Amino acid sequence: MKLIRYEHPSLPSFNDVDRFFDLALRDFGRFGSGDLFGRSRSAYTPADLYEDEDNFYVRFELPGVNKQEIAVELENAVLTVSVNRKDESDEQGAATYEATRSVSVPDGVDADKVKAAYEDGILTVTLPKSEARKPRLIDVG
Amino acid sequence: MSTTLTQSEPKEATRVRSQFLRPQYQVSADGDDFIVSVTTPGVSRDGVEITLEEETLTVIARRGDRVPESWKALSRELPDLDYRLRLQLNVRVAEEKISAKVENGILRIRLPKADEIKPRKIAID
Repeated sequence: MKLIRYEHPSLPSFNDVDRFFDLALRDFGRFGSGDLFGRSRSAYTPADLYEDEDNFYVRFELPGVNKQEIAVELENAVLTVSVNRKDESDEQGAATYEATRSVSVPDGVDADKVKAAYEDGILTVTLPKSEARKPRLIDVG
Repeated sequence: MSTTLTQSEPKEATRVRSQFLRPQYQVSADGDDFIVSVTTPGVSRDGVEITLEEETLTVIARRGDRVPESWKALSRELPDLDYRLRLQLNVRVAEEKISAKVENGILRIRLPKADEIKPRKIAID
């Protein structure tokens, strides 16, 4: 017995924005999907880059993974996040979910003080700017 | 669709409220229950509203992951929009027993089948 009756593409509630994102996300999925690369399954991982006075911040959308399955690496100003896990919800049992995303971050990051936090499917990596990089008030003598 | 080229900008609040992202979802079965798993990164349990009206299940999930105002965006890919999913159910579900939880950006809704549609064994006298 099927739970969902039908998907009506032109219900008024599915406005243009919904449809746009449906299409966009479907294409992202295809582009990132493992078939071309021989992987079992993978996901497109969007990322945001922010800065404030003291830090750079990179946020990744990684829904449905456990903290322990996330690896974060910073090398030569490239921040790479990868996820590798067994997908428990898959009925075949053996499918693996993979996601890898690299983001170039600006130079001048204090690599020893990088921190990451995962909440509600969003991974936020905080990259402190090194002292030399921070804006400094210079006294005029 | 409107044919006018320009339009007055709707007020910010109305504009935000009327635009939703349609999340991806999966349906699976667990015994007599259906599980609908909706991918809603950025949403905590406070941001979820689930309603069942007749046969329409509506899920609205609002993102609570706003970044501080002092952060300046250098590059953006994550959407800001809240999620809305409307599903037409084909199966009668026990409305009062619907439960849901949010974990790591996945909303799992458990929809138990209504008692009257469960298969029943009939004893023969």
